[in-house]
Amino acid sequence: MVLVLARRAAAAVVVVAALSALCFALLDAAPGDPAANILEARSGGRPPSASAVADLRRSMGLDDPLPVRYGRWVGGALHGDFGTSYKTGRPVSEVLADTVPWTLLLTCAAVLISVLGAVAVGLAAALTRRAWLRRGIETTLFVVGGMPGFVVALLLLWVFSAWLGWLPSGGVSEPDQPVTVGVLLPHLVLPALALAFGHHFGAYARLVETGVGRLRTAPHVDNARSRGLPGRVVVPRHLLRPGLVPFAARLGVGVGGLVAGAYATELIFSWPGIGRQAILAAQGQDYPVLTAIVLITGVIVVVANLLGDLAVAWLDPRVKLEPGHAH
Amino acid sequence: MRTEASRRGLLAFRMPAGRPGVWAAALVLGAMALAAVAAPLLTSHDPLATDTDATALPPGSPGHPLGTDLLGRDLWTRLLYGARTSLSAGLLAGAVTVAAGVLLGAVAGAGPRWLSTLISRIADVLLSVPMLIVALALSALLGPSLGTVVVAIAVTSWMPVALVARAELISQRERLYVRAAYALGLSRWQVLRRHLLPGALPPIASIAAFEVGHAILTESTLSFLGLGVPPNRPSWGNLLTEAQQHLLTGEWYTVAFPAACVVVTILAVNVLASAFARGEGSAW
Amino acid sequence: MNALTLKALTIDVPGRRVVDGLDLTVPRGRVVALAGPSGSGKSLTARSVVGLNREGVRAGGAIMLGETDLLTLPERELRAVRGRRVGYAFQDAVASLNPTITIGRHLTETVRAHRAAADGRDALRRCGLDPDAVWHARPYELSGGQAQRAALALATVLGPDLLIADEVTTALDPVTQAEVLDAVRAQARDEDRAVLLITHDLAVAARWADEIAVITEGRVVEQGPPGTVLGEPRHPFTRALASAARLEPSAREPGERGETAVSLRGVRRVLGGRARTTVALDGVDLDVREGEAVAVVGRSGSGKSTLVGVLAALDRPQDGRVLAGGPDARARNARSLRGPDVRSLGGPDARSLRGSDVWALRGSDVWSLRDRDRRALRRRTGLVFQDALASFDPRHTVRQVIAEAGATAADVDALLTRVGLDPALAGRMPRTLSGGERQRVALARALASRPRVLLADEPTTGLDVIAQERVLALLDELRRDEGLAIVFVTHDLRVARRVADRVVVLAGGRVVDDLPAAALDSAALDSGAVSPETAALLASTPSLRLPTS
Repeated sequence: MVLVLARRAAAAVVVVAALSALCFALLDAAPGDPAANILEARSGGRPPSASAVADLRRSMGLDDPLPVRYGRWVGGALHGDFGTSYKTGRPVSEVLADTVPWTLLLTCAAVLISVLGAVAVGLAAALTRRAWLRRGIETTLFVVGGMPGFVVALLLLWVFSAWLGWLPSGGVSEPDQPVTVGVLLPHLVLPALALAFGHHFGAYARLVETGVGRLRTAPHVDNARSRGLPGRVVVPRHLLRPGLVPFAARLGVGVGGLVAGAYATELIFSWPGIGRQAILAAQGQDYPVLTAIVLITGVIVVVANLLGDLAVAWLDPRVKLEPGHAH
Repeated sequence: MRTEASRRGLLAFRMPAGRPGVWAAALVLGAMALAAVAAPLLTSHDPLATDTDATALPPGSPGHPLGTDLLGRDLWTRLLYGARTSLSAGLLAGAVTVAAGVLLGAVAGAGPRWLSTLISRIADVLLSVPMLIVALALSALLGPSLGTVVVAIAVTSWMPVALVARAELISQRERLYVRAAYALGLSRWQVLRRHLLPGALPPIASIAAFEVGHAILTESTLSFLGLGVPPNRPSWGNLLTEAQQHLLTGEWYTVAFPAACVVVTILAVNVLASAFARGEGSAW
Repeated sequence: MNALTLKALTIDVPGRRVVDGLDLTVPRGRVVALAGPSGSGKSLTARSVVGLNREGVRAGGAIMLGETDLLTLPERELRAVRGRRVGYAFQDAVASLNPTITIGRHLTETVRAHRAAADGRDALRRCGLDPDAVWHARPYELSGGQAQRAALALATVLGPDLLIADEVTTALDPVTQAEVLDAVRAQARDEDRAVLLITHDLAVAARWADEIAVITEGRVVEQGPPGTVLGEPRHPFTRALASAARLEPSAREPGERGETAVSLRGVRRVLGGRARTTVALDGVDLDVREGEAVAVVGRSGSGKSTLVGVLAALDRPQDGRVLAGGPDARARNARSLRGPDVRSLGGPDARSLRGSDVWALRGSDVWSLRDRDRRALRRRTGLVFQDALASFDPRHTVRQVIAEAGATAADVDALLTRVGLDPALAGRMPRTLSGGERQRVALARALASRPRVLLADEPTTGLDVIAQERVLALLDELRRDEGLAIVFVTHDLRVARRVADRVVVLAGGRVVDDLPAAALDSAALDSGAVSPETAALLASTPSLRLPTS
């Protein structure tokens, strides 16, 4: 088991390495000269002279072959040095330190809402005897599932902020105010809800519903009832635990989608996380920032996948944690 | 163990739609497509022309049935022309995705073992990489354009199709009735034509339809983020980007109509896809 | 004293009354078998006792457990009865246990739910299991027999007055079945419980029960000691059931044996992938002649089904030869090809040959032939499977299924009539047919290309005795009238004796015995003329022949 986990982790490292190399190479091929960009940013928009660009290129080592530069970049990245932003001239590591915690906060809140909500709704649909309730839940999930994440975000923004005026429309705090928990929480509610309900929520709830619903008439549940076990034992141990396996198996991959979904959500709610930063960097061709963010996202996703695999293994000991599970 | 159910869950909404629902969905999609094709006939405005005398008109204003935005551009016209972009991008990207997915899945399902392993490993790895990251990198590299959108969607969405196609072919191959057919002396080709293909097609058709819906969704997301179709070409996603700020200032309709278009289209496609999936189920 | 009394029990499922006025008593210390065919209402009756019926199923009458009427109990009190006063063991033991928790956890949660002071380890020991070995195991890690004993221990851990054993051995091979049923009977003998044994197998009921209640169409039509019920059945249904279950070999003339239809020489086949391989067949020699019925018998995992795949020219052995016709057929071919009379005897008609002369292929190694010749040979071999439904394309009607084997529309009707089905069934989907009907459709398909050999892989295993008897009688007819060679795979010695002239016993991929069917009786067991494997099978096979007192 430990061995298998180690193998999975090793595979994850390979994935991240491949991702970073690919990203580095792609962005290297992108149009534009980073040295010229930096000088332009420093001088406030005046086109730099050719000799100044050449000097900077030499000092930045941009004339070296690609593998050398990638090696240097990896060496730096392992020490937390991701280079400097073309746009602002700030070290990328500072940019990351400012943004990553916000994204983690938002994503964790969303995962919590998503998991609890999906289990609650899915269970209600699976266990209710009222056909209209089940039908209603299924229809709602179907509609929610057809909505892009950003549409859900806009809808929530419109209803709760523009129309009802209950919640702030963006940011993490009022302008020029210190960030305190009391101020942060109301600001967190809308983006977290948007992220949770806008990304695969319907699929999750359906997985819970079918996973648990399928077991309602399973022989082992009949057996548990025939032994006189009370509902508070039968439902969590005999229905939920085995019934949640398909959902948990899907969750690891889904968290990755959630991190990516945070990009649009952060943009809409002016949330100062990596997603918003990445969009701005992509639009402004700020490649060092973009590469670093892609790498960080990859790491988060890979870690989430590993955690998901662990959850499945805990829920269902039959599942072997093998890298090639597609057979 | 975590293969089939979880992978199908990737895009899965298998709510059985009643027959009237299926018809309604087909009708909606047909009307959308028709409106997109006939856009110049349905409006006399130019989608890009601004009109400083008619800014921020509410829906129902004379000459502007759905109103205008802050630059005075007619919303109805922009929706029609946006449908052209969004629908064609969705269909094109969906078609490329499905073609690539089915091809790779068939190769993985019928080809030699090493190729099958290679393809499913690559699919597994790509599945764990968020789509938006790849799209972001591609868009930064190639610049926003319709081609970028199609490539980004195809690169990031072929995996579920390929995995379903592969799994279906393999599971069909191992069914007892296929063995029984061989025992009757049928040739490989006869078995493929009579049993394997008819068995594998409905689930593949279903996931393919879901992919088209997914492609429309992705296109609108990318355009919304400014990474997709260039802003000077109206698409539903683009309309939403521009209208976002208006939500809080009272021009809610500039957001509501394009958003409704996106959602209704995706729902209609998903209803059809569910109908395919149900057709598969009825065989048992 | 009666532990369980059912009085005028009725059970309704939506739209239909399945159990209609059933009366039954189960006294302490005795095993009462409720025996009947599928659909007779026996499982619904058993489930009603513990209130496990699905939504929409309604029970009426009275279910008296001692002095308590379980049907009138509120849910809360019924829960206290379940497990504590009534234990229930299910058909598929592995599926009836939660795969995510250990056996020990199952036992402790049951004890704790009733705030009792029972010891789960004792319960396991009483059912013949070593507690240390299985306590920390999960259900899927146990063998079928172990899982069923663990399920028994779980049902009886709180010492209930009544144990219900619902088809507990259906999926087990005869040796394991005997062990599990001995453990069930011990619950009545040693622990003085009342045991209600639900079974479709009269022979099982006769061997392990003290009393048999025969159920059909929702009523008990006859109840009494096995000797009386089976020896002097009064009700016509009991008579039919008993005669079908007796599986008496039809009085058959030895019959003329034709030429060798298929031969195996030193066949060895290894199954499995890269990680683990098993030798399924290990040097098997076998000859089957036309007009002969050979039963292949063995426990699960003995290589029976692999043998069928090899005989059908579907699976290629790693070693050894599969010969169409006997090893000497090629030499005989040369002669017989000169005389047209022999040709017509074999009866290869032009249509099914499709251009390649099967007769000329006789005696050659199947796997040295061209693909199209091998396919022509496959058409001369009919194959039916245990799961007939799964062997039909789910999109095809009965007509399409049979037509695929090369039958014309007129042929389809004739074939359906031949296997005793109404030709009007041709338009139906196979899944709407009963198990016995499906298996006969499978036979019709197998016969469509006029085979000389019929391979049947456990074709009656899922069927109740009456449907089974019909299929077996049909096979008898086919062998006699058409001179077919029949290879019949089964794990049931009684069935083997019923259909076959010769019985081949497989164990571990080898042929350990090859005997005339008539030699398989207790005399053979006593004389020691058979291998240990055959002896074990014989000893554990229940028989309807009553002990002569």
